[in-house]
Amino acid sequence: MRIQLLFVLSTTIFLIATGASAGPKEDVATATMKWGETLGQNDPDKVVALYAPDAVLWGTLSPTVRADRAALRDYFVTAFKVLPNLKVAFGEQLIRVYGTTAVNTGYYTFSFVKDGEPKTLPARYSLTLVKDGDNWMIVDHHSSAMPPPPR
Amino acid sequence: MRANRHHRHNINVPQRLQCLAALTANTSKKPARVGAIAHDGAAMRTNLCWANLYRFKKDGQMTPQVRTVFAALFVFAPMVAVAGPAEDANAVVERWSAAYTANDPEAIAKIYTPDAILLGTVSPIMSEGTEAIVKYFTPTKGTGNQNKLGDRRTIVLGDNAVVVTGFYEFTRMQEGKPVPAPSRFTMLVVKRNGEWRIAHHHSSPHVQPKQ
Repeated sequence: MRIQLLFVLSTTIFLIATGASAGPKEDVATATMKWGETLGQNDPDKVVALYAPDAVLWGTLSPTVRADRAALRDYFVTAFKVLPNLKVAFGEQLIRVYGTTAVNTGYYTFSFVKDGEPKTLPARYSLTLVKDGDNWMIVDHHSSAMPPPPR
Repeated sequence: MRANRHHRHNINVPQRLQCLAALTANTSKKPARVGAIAHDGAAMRTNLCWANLYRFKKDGQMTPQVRTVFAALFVFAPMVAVAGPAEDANAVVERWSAAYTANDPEAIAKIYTPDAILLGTVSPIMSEGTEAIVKYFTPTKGTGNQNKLGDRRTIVLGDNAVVVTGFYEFTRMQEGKPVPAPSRFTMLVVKRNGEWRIAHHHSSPHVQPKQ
């Protein structure tokens, strides 16, 4: 009887403890926010470090797919050059976790300066992430301009 | 055969060719116990070679010619048997394309998981779940719209998750005329309860290079 009680008690404590700590959804949200913050730091190498070595990127306004490290870096080098003061703000996001794979998808808006004028570009994204140790790495990033509302 | 599809001891084509060479060159060596699990890679391969040939062997009689024929069959025939997550996920993508071309919203929706999210090419709304996905594809019913898959990349994330991403082209009928719409897609295909389905699909127009 005492053992059973102990078991129930320890299970309860364990459940409370795990509930209080961040779950995978929160971790994925944190990894996504980190990508957003890093993008605002204007450093291609820092951004690229958030992608898995075999990651694929479909840039918002890019006709080509970036499927290796050098191409990925090149994309951000160009982006930071042609879009000064590039920042991103996240809107609605949906997160799904499938074991060590997760998807974060939703809306984000880029802001930058063009010809001295502040500009914004609303877009939508899908980030597929895989858990590597304690980190969630981006393995696929699909970014696209917002389609016009249906007529 | 099906039970063995994802067997981790399945051997690939180069290994099969090694089998062919080994079995045709050396007729005397035979493992003590056919199908025995060996932890040494080469021995395991030999055992698999023998395990697969053994069923054709009667009373220990098999002429070198017969052996060669069976070994050759074994090497080249059962390509389907080595399907893994990459092949399974791509089969799902192909089924999706066929269902789109059939203009069948219900059939398309069945290829997605019940809680899948679709970012369709022509709508700013995220379609979440079977009902929303059926609704998104309903306008294609009876249009004659088509989808053709182009270059794809497959990233196997594990035994149960694969990303397939690449180009595809829609041909949409507008006022009786086919209008091509080159597009790009990312699909996360996951295995749940033994079945591969699309969990996430992001589709967007292919950005044209600046002239």
